[in-house]
Parts: sequence; C-alpha cells; structure tokens
Amino acid sequence: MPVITLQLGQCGNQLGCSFFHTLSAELSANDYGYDAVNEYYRAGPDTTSGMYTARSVLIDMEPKVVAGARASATASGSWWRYPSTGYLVMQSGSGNNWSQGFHGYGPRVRDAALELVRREVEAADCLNGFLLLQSMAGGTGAGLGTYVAQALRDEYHAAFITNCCVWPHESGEVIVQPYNTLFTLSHLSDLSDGIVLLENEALHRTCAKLMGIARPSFADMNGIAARALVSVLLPSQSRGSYRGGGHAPSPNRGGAGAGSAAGPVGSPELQLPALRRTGGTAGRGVGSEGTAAGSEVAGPRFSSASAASCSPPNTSPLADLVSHLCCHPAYRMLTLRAIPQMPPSSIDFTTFTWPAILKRLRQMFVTGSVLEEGMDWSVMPHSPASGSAALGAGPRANRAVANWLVLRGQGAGEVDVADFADPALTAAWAVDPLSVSYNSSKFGRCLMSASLLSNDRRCVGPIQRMLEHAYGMLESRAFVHQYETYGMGVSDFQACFARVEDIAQRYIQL
Amino acid sequence: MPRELVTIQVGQCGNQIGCRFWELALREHAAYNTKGVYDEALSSFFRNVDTRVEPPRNLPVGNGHGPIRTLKARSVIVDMECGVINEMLKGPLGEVLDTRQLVSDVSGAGNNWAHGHHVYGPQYHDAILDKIRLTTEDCDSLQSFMLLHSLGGGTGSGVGTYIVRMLADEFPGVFRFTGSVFPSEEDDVVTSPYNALLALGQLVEHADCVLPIENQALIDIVNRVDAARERAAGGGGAAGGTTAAASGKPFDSMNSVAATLLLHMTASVRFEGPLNVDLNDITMNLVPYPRMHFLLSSMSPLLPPPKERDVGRQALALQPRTLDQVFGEVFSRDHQLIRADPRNATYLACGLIARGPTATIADINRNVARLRPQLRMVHWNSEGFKLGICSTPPVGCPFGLLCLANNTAIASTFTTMKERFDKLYRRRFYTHHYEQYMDRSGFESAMELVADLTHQYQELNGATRAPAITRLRPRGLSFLP
Repeated sequence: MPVITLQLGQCGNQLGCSFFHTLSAELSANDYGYDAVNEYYRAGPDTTSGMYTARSVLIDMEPKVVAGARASATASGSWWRYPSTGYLVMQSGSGNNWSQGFHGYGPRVRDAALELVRREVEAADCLNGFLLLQSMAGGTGAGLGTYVAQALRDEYHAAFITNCCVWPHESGEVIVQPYNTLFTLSHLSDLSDGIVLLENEALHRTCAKLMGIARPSFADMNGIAARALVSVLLPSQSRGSYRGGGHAPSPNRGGAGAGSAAGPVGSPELQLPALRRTGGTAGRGVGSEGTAAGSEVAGPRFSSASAASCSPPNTSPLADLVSHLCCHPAYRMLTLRAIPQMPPSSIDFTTFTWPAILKRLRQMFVTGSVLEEGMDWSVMPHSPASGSAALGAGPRANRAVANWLVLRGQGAGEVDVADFADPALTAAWAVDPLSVSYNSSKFGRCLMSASLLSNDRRCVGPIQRMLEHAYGMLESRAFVHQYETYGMGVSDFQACFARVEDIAQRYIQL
Repeated sequence: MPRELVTIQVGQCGNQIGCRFWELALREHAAYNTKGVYDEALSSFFRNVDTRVEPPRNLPVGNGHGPIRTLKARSVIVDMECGVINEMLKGPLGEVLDTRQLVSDVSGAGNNWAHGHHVYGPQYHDAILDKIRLTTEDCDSLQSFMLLHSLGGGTGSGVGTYIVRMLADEFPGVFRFTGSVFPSEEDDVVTSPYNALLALGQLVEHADCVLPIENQALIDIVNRVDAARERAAGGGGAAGGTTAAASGKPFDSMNSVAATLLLHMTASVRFEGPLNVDLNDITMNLVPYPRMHFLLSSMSPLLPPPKERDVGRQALALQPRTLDQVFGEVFSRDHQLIRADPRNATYLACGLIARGPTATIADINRNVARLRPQLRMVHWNSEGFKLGICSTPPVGCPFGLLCLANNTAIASTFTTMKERFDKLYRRRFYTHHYEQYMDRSGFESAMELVADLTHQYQELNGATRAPAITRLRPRGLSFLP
C-alpha cells in the first residue's frame, strides 16, 4: 500500500534523497515483491523504459537543495526519478525562524502543497499514509513541516502520518535550535502518529567510531540514517506478537516457505495479529540470492509469480508501527536502532551469528544507547514491580511501551527471541510489548541484521537538555522579538515548553 | 531565480569599496563559471543585458544555461562629487556599472553629516528612490540591500543614513545590511567624530544589521600581510615584493578586505553546500535583541591571493595551511576587522561560515569544541553557534572561513567614539556648521541612542552566569507515584 514521502527543508530533502537511493539499491539487490516497489515508487512516466517515479513531494523555501536532490536522482543512473513537477520551492528561505515557517509561509503555500500531495495520492490506488522527513532545528523543516503535517491531518483524517525528525547536534548548529525544536515537538506530538527521532550526535558518533570515517559529513550521516529507516520499512513477515511471561511461541514456519501465506497456523498459544504482511514466496528465495550480486542498475526485482500466489497484502510497516508501537496518545517518540553498524569493507570478513546480534541489540536497548559499542554491560533491566526500589541504585535501565524487532537474513524466521520478550523491558501496562517480523533476504550484504524500533525513554535526555537551554534563553527574552514579528508571544513559548515537559515526564514515569 | 542583492554605494569610501567588490565578484564568478552561462549564482549580483536592442533588454535566468551577453551590476551609485565616479566609469568597470543607476552632484557635502542628511538627502530623495526602484524592479525576488559607506565623511554618512531610513520606509520587508567604515583615531577629517556618532544613531534605529569595519584595523592587517610577504620573498625577491605593494593603489588592499567580507557572507546564498546559510538566517540567529545588530567580522584568509603571476612563496605567505589553523586565526585579535579583542568580551552569538569542498560538519564541530573553552559566552547561549558550509571555496584558496560575532567588545568601540565626540562637543567646536542645517537636539538624541545601546552591551558583558530559572511543572501528573 503506497506511502507518500514528503521531504521538507534542506535536511529533509538531503535525507530523503539518501533514503530513496538506499531503498532502490535494496530493491534492486533482492526481490521483495511488486508491492514493495509499489509502496514507494510508481511506474512511469513511461512504463516501457522501466523507469519509476518516487512517490515523493519535495518542499523547500529556497531552490538550491531541491534542485540538487532532483539532479542527483537523475545523475545516479538508477531506475527511479523524482516526479518532474512534484516540488514546491520559494526563494527566500525561512531564516531558521520557526514562526516564519509556520505562520509566515504556512498559509501561503498550503494550497500549493496540498495540491501536490493530492496528485500523488490520486496516483496511488490505496493510500496508506505519509512519511515526513524533516529537521527540528531549522525554519522550513521544523516550522513549515509542522504546518504541512497539520494540513495533512485536516485533509486526510484516516491516513497515518509518521515523522522522521532529525534532532540537532547538542553543540549547536543553529543558535535558536532550542526554540525551534521544542515548538516542533510540542505541535507534532498532537498531530503525528509516530515520531522517529534521529539524533545527529548519535549518527555522527556512529560514523566516526563504527564506520571508520574520520571526518563525517552530512552525506555520511544521512546514509546511516537512511539505512536504518530502510531496514525497518522494507517488507517483512510477522512472526507474531509476544505477550509477557517470557513464553516463546513456536516460530511460525507456515508462512515462510510454502507459499500459502494466508490463514493462521494452528498453534493455540500463538496470538497472531489480525493483519499480516506477505513478503513473497519460496520462489524468489534462492534464485534472487544467487543473482543478487551482479546486477547494479537492473531495476527493482519482483517476479509476477510472487504477486499472484500471495494473498492480497493488506498491511504495511506504517500501520504496524502505529498499531503496535504507538498505541497510547501520550507516547509517540520512537527510537531506531539498526545493527550491524560496520564499514562496508568489513562485511565480508565478519562472522554473523544470531545470538551475538540479538544480545548486542538487547543490551543497546537496555542501556538506551543507539551505538553498537561502548555499552555498559553491567546495566540490567529490572522488573516493573521493583521499579521504585531500584531507582537509586545505579543507572536506570531503559524501558519501552512497545518494541518492534525486525530480523533480516539467513534463518531469521527461526531465531529465538525470548530475550526480548522479557517483561522487565517494557512497561507493566504494555498492551503489545513485542512484535517480531522477519525477512530472509539479506539486507545491505550483511548475512544477518536486526533492527529495533522502540517506543522508549531515550528521548528524555535530549529533551531535557534542550529544555534547559530554552528556559535560559526565554528568561532573558533572547531572540523572542524575531518570533514576535509573526505573531507568537511569550505565552506561546511557555505553553509549548509545558507540553514538552509533559511528554518527558510521562516517559520518565514509565 | 535566486535571491538578489542590491548594492548601494554612497560616498567616496563606499564607492571605492564598491568598485573593489565588483572586481572581486567578477573574478570569483569567472573562476567558477567556466562555460560563460548566466546561471543563478551570477543573477544575485548581476543582470544579463542584451545591448543589441534599444532600450537594452534584461534577459532572465531561464534554465540557467543561457549565454552571458553583457553583465550589469545590480547597484546604485550615489556620490555628491563626481571625481571618484568618473574614474570608476573610465576604468575596466565602466561596462559593468550602469550610468542609469548613478546619482551625483558636483560639489560634495563638505564632510558635514547634516549637509548630507538634511540637505542632499531630501533634495535627491526622489532621484535616489527612483533609481533604487528601477533596480528592484529588475529583480525577481529581492532579498536584501547592502549599503557601503563610511561614517566619517559627509556624503557616505549623511546621505547614506538618509537612504537607510528611506529604505526602511519604502521597502520594509527587505533586509538592510550595511558595511560601515568607522573612522580611525588619526582620521584626516576633523569633524569625523560628529559625523560618526550622528550616523551611528541613525543606524541603530533603521538598519537591520551593521558590519563595522575600522580603517585602523584594515591598515594593520594590510601592513602585516605586506611584511609577511616581503619576509617570505626574502632579499632576492625584494624587487618583486615592493612592486607588488606599490603597483596597487594605496587603499586597494584595504578595500579588498572589506569586499572579501561581503563575498564570503553571500557565498552560501549564491553557491550550494551541505548546510546553507541565508542572509535572513544571519539576522535571525545573530541578533538577539532588536537594536543589538552590530556584528564583528573576521575571516581567514584575509586577502585574496595576488594574481596568478605572483606564485611561489610570496603568494603563499599568510595563506592558511590547514582548516584547523583557519579556525584559530578567526578568533584571534589580529584578524578582526575592527580594533577590539573579542576574547576579552562576551559572545552573545557567533556564526561561522566555512567555504570549501573539504570542510565537513565534523571539522567545524571539532574546532568549535576545541576553541569554545577559551571564549566567554553569555549564559543563555553557552553552546550556540550558527554553522554554515558552502562547497565553493574562495578564489585561490582551498578553504576559507568567515566569523560573524555579536560580541560586547563593540561597546568599547562605541565608547571610544563617544569620547572623541565629547572632546569636541564639550566646547561646541564646529557645531555651527551643523546647526545651519539641523537642530541641536539632533546631537542629543544621537548621543542618547548610542549611550543606551552601549549600556545594553555592557550589561551583557559580564552575564556568563545563569540566574536561577523557574521551570514549568508538568500538568496533571502529580498523582503519579
């Protein structure tokens, strides 16, 4: 089911470009079925040449970045392009001013932006939702992006809106970033169905420490973020959700190989979610692995056989994301962890084993870290019952509302994930603590890889640090006059800060 | 159709800097625009004119691949005496500068701010406004005005500030940047303290952003560069060294420094990069309170390298060798364009624009982390820097850096100006020249404005410790354990 991507602002456009490049590379390398390609690309403008158009709308208040993104899509010689008229640019930029983006440009470009989105929606036979890529520190991505999200919510009530927001460097890229970030967060928490936070600081350290890049640039950081997003959003097959009690139901073998993906397997303890994802059948398994290595620009892979023999797919990662992870309106902040994080040159020399990967991923989650190394292995999760007693003792373990584990690679369907089903990892009241899905295709040439999207406490630290800065600035009324030109007053600032305090407090109490 | 900048050059100093600016801009664009197409980067500063038809027709950017016919600068030239302008038009810039955009008179303003502001200003109000309007109508989406002038004379300071006020009334949505040359101690104009303070009062009220440039600082910089070049050239090449210094006109190098500042500031507007910084980003991030819009500028490398024939050690003298070195230089006292030591004062906001294909965000962050402990930052902005990266380096150098800082050291500059003003005003020397055209209350109000602003800056000077802040309590969750 198609997902429309909106790239907002300089960061959003650069990240989106990277996202589509990574997605197209993966879709070329492995066969995920026609629906996977159809989700993010549509055939055309002329189907005979095998060119696809990304289902994407590019919006920026200055022309250079959008032009660069479109040019890079054309220049890469790949099988996809951006739509020739699907972009909206103005001339003067938003000046890093959230209120200029929201109150100034918002109403002016609302009609044009909605028109572009409507064209994409009409080209999709059944709209699933929107994926918004933006930064939180600037003017366009943050301010105008929030306005566009609001407009989308008004216009398309039933569609899912997921935001991937880039949290700025702690050391500051923009001086007014505390204000802009907190305004964005407070507004999006009401509008969005799920906010995936990508922290620039974490991406930077990943590049520097794990990928071996001495001086990471934004292109490198975007590459890592795009990889993590793609690893979650590519199709995968559900293995069921696990309720608390450490009870591991038998792996769902029925859907993996035999081609009949419809119908529940008759294991009574296993509670299958009503919606299932079908990623293709055995027909594609071996053949595509063998020929995956050679083809670079050959176009996306899908065999028509796979489309026919599956039961009609009626889910998508966005719907899974929202229904499993963000089931409570006050908890919408998601953290994305994708491993292995290693330079491409080391992949061929590494031995992959599922226990090692899952153990590292679990400890990453328990310590709240997003990096694969430098974790504190002494931190243990404690069960919610003893929560208050353990508050004073050592660093607190991370806890989530819900987790979604995506496993990709050889034998992903049979791996034992009992560790992740530990009730100490999630809140006591969690409805759907763990859902697992898998796909047997390799991701990014790694034999085995795993990603974890969790609705957890990691956002609290950055939010509190940003609040400190923001309070300090507001106290001295610094830069406030710039926002007042567009009609925001000190009371607006305080209302937003209060909402963000709420969010942080809820997660702390988790 | 990118954002266009209109340059307004007023007075002798302003016009000389302006000329140098156009020469350097043409050089920069010629270096990067090898195919001779009229692209969007060129369109910020120049119009493409087809002079074969009468009246000459402006050619639009279109798809960015149209050939260049004749480039005309988007500028308005104002001077009350025609000497400098005539020389400009006779030289190589005669084709780039349009006589249609010229406003001039014969006799000059006599180094009298009041004559410039209260007599010539209103007298030429319509003519100047007309020319500016013509220029803005040629622009698709005008972003800002850049006014180049000096504060010590009569035309630049008087007519210049009159124009700033006029722009604030007629074009309220367009930014008004000024590159203002502050007079030095040994200025040869006796009444320059009066002119400077009166002009400053106007700039505080009506400009969006002022970039002060001090003549004395420029002289020091140029002397240092010349000395280093001579040392590098050694004894044998002394002939080459001195001819290089003597061949240029005396103020050429100084004007080059000021012109380079403008080029760096607008680099991210014209060329692309991973992290773009617009002019309105600059005003948003670096101006915390409405009147505190005076930015100290410093850059490295300071002077564009000499022309291609001077290669070798002499050319490389004082060119930075590594990007890290550039960062250290930019915060040092020697590279500032006014005579103030920013390290001894408090930074309210700091913006860094790096140019060059090899500059990455990691480099900037690393250097900022390295240098920040040595800087005093105001408590509510202890971490904040505004960063920008442009992929195109300055001509002749692999990387460059511009630092625009809102720093309380400017208060000392204002205080010095006020002292010089007081020395004359105490005894009412020369005030009768001004009272022919203006009221004495003009002096009083300017003094008050500048004193207020200085006080504001000085208050923030020591504010590095955060007071206790009350935070908001989260609502409705007090029942949770």
